[in-house]
Amino acid sequence: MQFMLLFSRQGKLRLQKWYVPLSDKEKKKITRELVQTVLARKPKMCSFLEWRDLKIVKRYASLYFCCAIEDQDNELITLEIIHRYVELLDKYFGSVCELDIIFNFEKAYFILDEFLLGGEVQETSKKNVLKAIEQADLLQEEAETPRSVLEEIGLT
Amino acid sequence: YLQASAKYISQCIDEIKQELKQDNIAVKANAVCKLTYLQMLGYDISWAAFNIIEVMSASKFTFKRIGYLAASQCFHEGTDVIMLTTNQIRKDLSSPSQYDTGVALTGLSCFVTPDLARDLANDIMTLMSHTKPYIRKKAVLIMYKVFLKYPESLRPAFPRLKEKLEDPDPGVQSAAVNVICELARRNPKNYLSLAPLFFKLMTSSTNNWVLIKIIKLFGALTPLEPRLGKKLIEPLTNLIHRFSVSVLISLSSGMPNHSASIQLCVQKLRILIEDSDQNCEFLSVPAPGACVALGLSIPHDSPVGLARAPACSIDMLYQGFWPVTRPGARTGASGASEGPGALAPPFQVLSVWPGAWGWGSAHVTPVAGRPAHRALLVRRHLQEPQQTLEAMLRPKVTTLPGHIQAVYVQNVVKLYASILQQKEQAAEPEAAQDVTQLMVERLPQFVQSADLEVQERASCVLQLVKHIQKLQAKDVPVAEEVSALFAGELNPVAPKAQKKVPVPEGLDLDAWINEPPSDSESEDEKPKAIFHDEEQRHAKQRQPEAEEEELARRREARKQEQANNPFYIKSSPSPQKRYQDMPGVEHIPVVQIDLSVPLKVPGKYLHRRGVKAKRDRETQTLKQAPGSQLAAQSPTRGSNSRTASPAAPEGSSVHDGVPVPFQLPPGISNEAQFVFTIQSIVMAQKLKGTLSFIAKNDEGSTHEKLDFKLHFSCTSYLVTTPCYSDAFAKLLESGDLSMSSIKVDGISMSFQNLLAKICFHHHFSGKASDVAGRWGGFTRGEKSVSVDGKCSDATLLSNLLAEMKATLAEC
Repeated sequence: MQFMLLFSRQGKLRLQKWYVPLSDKEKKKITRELVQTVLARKPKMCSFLEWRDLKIVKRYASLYFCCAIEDQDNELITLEIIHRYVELLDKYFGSVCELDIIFNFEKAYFILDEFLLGGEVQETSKKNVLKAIEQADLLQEEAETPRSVLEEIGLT
Repeated sequence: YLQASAKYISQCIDEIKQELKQDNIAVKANAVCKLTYLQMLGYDISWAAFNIIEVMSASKFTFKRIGYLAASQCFHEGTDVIMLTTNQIRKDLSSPSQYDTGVALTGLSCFVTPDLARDLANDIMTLMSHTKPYIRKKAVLIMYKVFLKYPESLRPAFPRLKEKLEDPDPGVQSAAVNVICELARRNPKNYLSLAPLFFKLMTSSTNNWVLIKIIKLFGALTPLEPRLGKKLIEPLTNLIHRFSVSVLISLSSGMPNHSASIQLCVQKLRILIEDSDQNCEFLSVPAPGACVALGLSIPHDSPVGLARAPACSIDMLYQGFWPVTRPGARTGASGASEGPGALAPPFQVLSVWPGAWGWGSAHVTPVAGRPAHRALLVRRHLQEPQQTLEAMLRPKVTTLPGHIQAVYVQNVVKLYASILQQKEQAAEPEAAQDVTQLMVERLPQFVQSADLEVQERASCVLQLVKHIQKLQAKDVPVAEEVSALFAGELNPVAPKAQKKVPVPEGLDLDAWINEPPSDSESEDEKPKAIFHDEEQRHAKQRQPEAEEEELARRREARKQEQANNPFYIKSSPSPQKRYQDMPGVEHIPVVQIDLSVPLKVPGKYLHRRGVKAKRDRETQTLKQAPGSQLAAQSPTRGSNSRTASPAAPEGSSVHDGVPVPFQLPPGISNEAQFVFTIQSIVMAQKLKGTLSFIAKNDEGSTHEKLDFKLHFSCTSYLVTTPCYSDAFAKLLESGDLSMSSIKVDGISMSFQNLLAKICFHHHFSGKASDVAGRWGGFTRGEKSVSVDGKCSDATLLSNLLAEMKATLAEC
């Protein structure tokens, strides 16, 4: 996979993950073009569209999940990947909605980072991905409590 | 609003800049987090690169994480401070905390540069053997990126990578498979030696994701090693049977040379193509390199299917493949290849299996579509036009469907033309004549085709070729002229175009071209006209000619048919002796019953025999439920009736059955009204009835009965009448009315509601306004209500009050 974009019906970007190094300008251009193209599609149209490489689009409620894959990549696997990612988000946030992704965007990235790495599927087990996230969260919490105690005492 | 938000954003950015100047790492991290969000919205944050690195180097995981995230979003090769990350990353890679390492690996995978790759390759390689599978997995995956940026790292890393294919942890294993698969795609030769290992994995793995990757890998390997293909048949076939779409797609792109598996593939692909899901259609059109022979047609309004099939490559042609062509060009490089408007004509996909010419035309299905396209390709690129021509003219071709043959014929001519040109240019007149002879010999088989189009085309062509032959015999060069036949493009004609052609003067399109048919013909027409008339008339016409017995027989047959015909509405009743199987019929005028019970009798024909009505008339409606069919036939037995209610006297009139005036075919509902008069309303009445009917289905007809009971309370006879206070007062004063009262305790409802309920159920009109105040004094809880009534009939009154008591008891 080359990149994944999440954007709303109004064209607002909610998540962007690039697995190929591109300059900011290029990224912006691609994003703009793609968002335009995708939003212009009618609901009955197919989930796949060809655009330079190959794109996959799948819509969940108000969000468009758009992945760019290469010619030889399997389109259906990519649909599965999108679906799996949504499942992970759902499990983590509990009935995920767009707001969750807006307010916890860094969490959405972290979850994606446990699921995909370098554009490839990192972990096929949902359980393992979520476990990794939870443990990382725990780690963050553990780190936080001592800090506040220290702060209270006055030692920062 | 936009202006305001731009102002707000710049305010925020200023804030963030301030925050970044502070020493507190938490504040910085938060600022960087905000920057990440802003970057997503499209704002440039590259000026904060150094700060991001600062946050990356935080010791707390929380902040580190944010730093790496920001870095992965905005760092790239052009970021000048990126080299400053090297040491930090190295530190994190050797951190005791697996999550620190993990986050570093993940982040790095997004912004790894050749320099970073070179510097960190060894560290990452070591991590491939880390104790924690979590790390190993990430390390393996990132190696792919490292390889891409710094190819020299592949050689030393490869043995370890191979080891990982047998890593005990399935996650690590899949990671290894992924990486090798991607590597193999780029350079299949080097990975051929791994085939046995992957074979083992394929047959033992239950993880679909892995399987698909492995199959993809094999797809890249099999072209190099034909024996591998053979070995793969069995497991792949099993997989096809087990799995559906996604696996299949991978398979079809790497299928080895084997007809059975092709057939299987084709089958499954056919299902896919015909699947109404557009996604499936999209995917089932294979790439030209796929080399699967299909005999499928994609519906022309499937824009996706059309968009997907890429233009054929010249390479394929040189291998003797028949071109996969598509009508119409893909509209530009960018996106808009969908849309029903883009490509109209029907489209069939053709690919030919390599070496198919040797197999015969069974695997060849031509492409319909713009002939010009194909002619172009054929003429210019086909290396072996002669062979192709011969193959196309083979007798087997006549077994193909007509429309395909028609296309064949058309293109045979084009091929012929180009060959002629070739031969003449090469100054080989004998060869040219041989080709013509071939055509002359083989075309007749098409001329004899059952398909008109093929016939027509073939005959035209044959005539042309024969003419050419004559010319050739005189050594006249013909190639130029023949080629000229195909010059220019024919544009598709819209179906309505013909209508737009103006009719020339003096042409009457409706006039007979030939003489109208003679009289002898019209005599034959007459019997048909007779058949249009109704049966009776038909019978009448025939009657004078037939004998008496014949007549009687026919009449009987006709009546039987009418009897059995559910749609035939019986004429008004006369003693119908023909219905011998039913009890005697009598004519009774239709009365109206108003029955509120819907009758549901599904799926059968019904002949209704009659309703036994027990009570006097009152309007009710009878509804026959859908699915039942009733025939109005005269009713049957008369009967006596008794009401079930002991209090009620028997109604004096006795009715015979009442016919229902219609029949019900299945799925139809109907209503009939039957009127009864009730002679006494002073007491509650019960109406008992039986609906008898005949249900007709495929096996025959059955008599059925439906019993019903209707309860008419005294209340139901009451008609609400508005009464004004004076009149009301007068009534109350009147001495003629008998009086009675009831009292009900334990009322919990409010008076308003209670009154409303009484009025509703018992058809009274009433107002509660002046009485409402009286309740005020009562405690919450139960109340009692007393009802006084005055009526001209004592019995009615007492019954009414009794009913009211029942209603009140529910309040």
